Amino acid sequence: MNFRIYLVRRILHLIPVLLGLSVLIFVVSRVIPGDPLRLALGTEATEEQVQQLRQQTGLDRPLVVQYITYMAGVLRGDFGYSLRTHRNVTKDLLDFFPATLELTTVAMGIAVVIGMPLGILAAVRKDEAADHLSRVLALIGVALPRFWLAILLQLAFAYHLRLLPTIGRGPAPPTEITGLYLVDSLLAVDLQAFWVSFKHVAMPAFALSVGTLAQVMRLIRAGMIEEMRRDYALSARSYGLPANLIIYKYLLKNAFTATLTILGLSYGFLLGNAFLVETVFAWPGLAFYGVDALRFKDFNGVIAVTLVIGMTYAVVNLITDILYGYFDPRIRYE
Amino acid sequence: MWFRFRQSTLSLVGLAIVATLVLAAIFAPVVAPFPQHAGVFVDFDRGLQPPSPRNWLGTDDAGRDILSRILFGARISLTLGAVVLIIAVGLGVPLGLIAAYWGGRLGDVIMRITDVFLAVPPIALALAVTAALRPTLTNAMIAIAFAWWPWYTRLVYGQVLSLKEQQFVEASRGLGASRWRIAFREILPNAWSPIIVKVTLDMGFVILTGAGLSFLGLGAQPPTPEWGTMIAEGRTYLPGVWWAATFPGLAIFVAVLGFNLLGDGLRDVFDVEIEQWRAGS
Amino acid sequence: MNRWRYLVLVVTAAVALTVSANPALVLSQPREVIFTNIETQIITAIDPQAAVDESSLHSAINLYDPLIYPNVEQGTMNPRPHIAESWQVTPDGKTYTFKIRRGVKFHSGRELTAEDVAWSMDRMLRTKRGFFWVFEPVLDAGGTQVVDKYTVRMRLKGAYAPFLGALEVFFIMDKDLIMANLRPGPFGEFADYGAAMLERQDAGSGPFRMERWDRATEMVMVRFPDYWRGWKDGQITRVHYKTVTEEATVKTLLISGQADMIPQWLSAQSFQELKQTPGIVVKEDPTVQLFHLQLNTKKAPLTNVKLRQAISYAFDYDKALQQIFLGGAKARGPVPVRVPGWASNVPIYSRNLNKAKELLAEAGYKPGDITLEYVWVSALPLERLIGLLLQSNLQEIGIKVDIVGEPWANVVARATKAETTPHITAIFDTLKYPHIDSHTYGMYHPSCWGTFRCMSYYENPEVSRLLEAARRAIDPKEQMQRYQEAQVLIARDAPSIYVANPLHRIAFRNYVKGYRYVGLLGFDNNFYDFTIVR
Repeated sequence: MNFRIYLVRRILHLIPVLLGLSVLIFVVSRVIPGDPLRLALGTEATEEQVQQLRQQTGLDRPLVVQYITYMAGVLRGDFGYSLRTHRNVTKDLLDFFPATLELTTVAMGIAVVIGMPLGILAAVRKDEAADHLSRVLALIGVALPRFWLAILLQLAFAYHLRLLPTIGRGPAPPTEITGLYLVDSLLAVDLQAFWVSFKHVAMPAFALSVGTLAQVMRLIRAGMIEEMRRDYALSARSYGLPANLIIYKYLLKNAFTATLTILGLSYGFLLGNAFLVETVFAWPGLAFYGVDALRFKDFNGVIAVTLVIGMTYAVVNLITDILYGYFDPRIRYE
Repeated sequence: MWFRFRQSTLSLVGLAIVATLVLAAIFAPVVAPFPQHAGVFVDFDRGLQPPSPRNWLGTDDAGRDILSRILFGARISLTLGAVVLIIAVGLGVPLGLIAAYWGGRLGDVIMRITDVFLAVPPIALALAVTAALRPTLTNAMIAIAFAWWPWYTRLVYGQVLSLKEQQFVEASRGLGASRWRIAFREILPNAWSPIIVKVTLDMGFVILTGAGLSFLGLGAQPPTPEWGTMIAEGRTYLPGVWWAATFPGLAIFVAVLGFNLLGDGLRDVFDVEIEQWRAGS
Repeated sequence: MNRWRYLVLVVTAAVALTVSANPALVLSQPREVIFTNIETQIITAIDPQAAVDESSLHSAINLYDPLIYPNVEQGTMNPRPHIAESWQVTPDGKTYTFKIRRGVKFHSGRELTAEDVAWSMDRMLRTKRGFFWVFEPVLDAGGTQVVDKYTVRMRLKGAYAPFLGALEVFFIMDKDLIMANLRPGPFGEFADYGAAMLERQDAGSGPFRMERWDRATEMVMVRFPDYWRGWKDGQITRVHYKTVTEEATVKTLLISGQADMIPQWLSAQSFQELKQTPGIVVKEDPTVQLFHLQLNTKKAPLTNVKLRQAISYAFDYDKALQQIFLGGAKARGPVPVRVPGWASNVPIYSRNLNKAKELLAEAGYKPGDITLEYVWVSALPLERLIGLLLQSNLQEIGIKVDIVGEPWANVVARATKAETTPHITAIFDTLKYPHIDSHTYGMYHPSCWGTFRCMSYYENPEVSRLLEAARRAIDPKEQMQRYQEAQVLIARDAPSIYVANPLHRIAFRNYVKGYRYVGLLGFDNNFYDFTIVR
């Protein structure tokens, strides 16, 4: 079918899903016991003050009305008022989201940049020592608890070797355009700031990437092996085309499309695992914010974080689906 | 089938690991050098001792033997995994079957709901639910099951869709069998192999998710010897005291590895092509 | 060959850019003295008149000035002049006249006058937060009179023992600045009394100005150059006050030099480790701090006094002190031993399992009947260990204890109502103002209910009477006698398990000089007092 139609259909498919998610999360969060209003107002709050805040924030209305009001706000870009940080949640999101985005993107980058060459190597040297080693590494990578690895890395590199900073993102670069420190420092052409930011993001991103790295490695390997068996590869070989050319130009491109789907889904799991890694490294991202909101029973914070994660996940999947459909026209016919 | 399984060394390793875990869990009270340390017990005099002949893996800050606690922790982790997956399979498989075989409006609704749940990474969903409830191990199990069932629905849905068209189904219909009979007695038995493989692979990741929740303080509470809780408690004393946080993490790692290897082996044996990506990783 | 040349070019360009981007090589800047202080809990109240916990008091003490100040230079908590240059009290103890120091500037540039002092006192009494309840019995809003530009007079409704000491935590706020920045709120003509503004900007006259506040992670304070006490070489110009809740991270930050000072809340074992680390100073001081497990007397089954006493006899105090606290003194009653007015005849509980079992039976319970909830502050591993000890001790008399860790903010929230307050809560309580009243009236009179200090919801009419009489007494001997009688009654009712008067430990890098602990919560971290000597 027409690519454009495919695109539109995919986007439309997203909407009921996100709506459903919002209902789900909304209901879940309103079930939270405890009284966050009291928490927010402080220890000396009187009953009248609590009631007043309840009215002001609309928490005294029926659930359905609350939901509609909330969603109306979300569509305008307003995620409500956080009882914990005493600011608009949207503002909090704008502060914290870029950090998580940066972390997960760098993690994804690491997974691809290290995983792909290793996968190629394993495929090309199939059944040799390198292949077996890579398989073992992949198995280890997938099984490693991310937060445990994070702690071990912190121990080794931050404490014993003093090579990398223990926690946090480091200072913000001089210009804050995107909120992504690496990008911003490059835009400001401040290499020192870039280096500092890079040192801060290196360990968390690596700890986060390990599982995905392993998967990318295995997928590239599997994909390439399959491709190598294909007729066109064999015939290219028999024509005498150099091996390198075959690998890079033909096989990889085809193997890559298969990996593309997994990247989308992996991004979701990177977002999920970010909760634990951000806690260990005190990385001021969305997941870190979310865990605090959960502990504090901050309704709006919890809903907003889950919605944003859901939306990001959905958007990334959408992008990979589109790319996949672009590269492989056969998909569009499903 | 066993012959093929036996051919893969790694799968055998996986089987060995899982078997050890199960045995450790069952026989923990007998095998553990200090079984009472897994419960209400304190011995501060012996707090934070490094690995020694008396305590092979050292002691934690309350003086409890880490090896014993890890062995009992196997019980908790395996129970967690089993309960979560029983719920997830018990809920997800019938739903997927119904959605695929009956199809129509009902099928659409079920799959839409499934999509909604799948729109968020499982940990995020589990976290949101645990926060709504008090932090206990039971609630953690409920929360993870809540996030995990849709994967089985989706799996079974895909399986059944393809099975639906096959000849044996046509034959049964021709013979006049009811839809229910066909669904549960003909189709489902053929769909089991990918489910079994997935359950095996998932065990490891459910355990990992449970440990993650406990690590954040939203799951098992002291003195429960859950591996994630033990890491969180031991973490305070890093870097000087490294054993309290390291060994429980190693236990998680070994457990996940074992189930992965076993699952991989089963997948090869059943010649199953389930989706390459896995929940939780 | 080409590739190598290209690489060299790229590297050279990178180096050149890095060098040019480093301002230190180009400009010469005024010498900045940056100080990084770690705290394990977030600042829960930015309003200095709502501050009661350590982190909030730290922000209040550095951004604002109190009327009088503890005599830190002489190592005591007794009042000495600060914003109030001198004061006079009438013989009947009811009228206090303060002379305000001239030339004190607010961060907004205005001079601090008696007007601000009177307005601030009224504000505290009206907003009813923080320490207002110390002043509320004797002072009404409007009871503070502006005599002239630099004189203020407070007329009390009766003589009041803790009054002067309590003024050490009465902070003066910039009236004009707040009134110019009001937002809608519940205080009538005073609207929100500046609550919204305070989140972005302080209204103080203290040595530091709030440059930035990120509630969840960090407050940045910069030096206020026109601070009335003046500045010397080596003093701090900028403070990064960071919140880090993980103990291992806090330790690592100090050891690696990324932090200059860390708080008192680490486990005793961690401090032992730090003592042996070069470049780090661990300071230990005896305290007037009480660590106790508050028993919610309004929550069944703890409503039964015999049950509470049984629990008090089951706990292993010695073990707690020797093996968990690694030092300090055993608590003897609610008042720390070193506070003047501590009663030597106060009943003390020690571990006696037989007595515990007897009392349990007398209370009407059998082993296995009861399950209690113990809540500890999740950032304080020491409290978890105490919980494990308690669990083990109470198991011996057949009581089950569930241990739950909660973040500090949640503990504070749960404390606001008796129904949500846990059965047992572990709390460190430091003297809030230099008077025995803080550990008696401040914890066991119904007027304090709803705060983390009063999670026992204790109510005893006779004790209340005694404490109120004590406050009114003019004769110091009579005062002390009443407080002592009250203590004895309180301890007998066992509204808490009194565990320890712990050692106060704090750790900082060895180039930080000027640290002094006088025992009043928060005042040891007035960053103005430190000099950095490298």
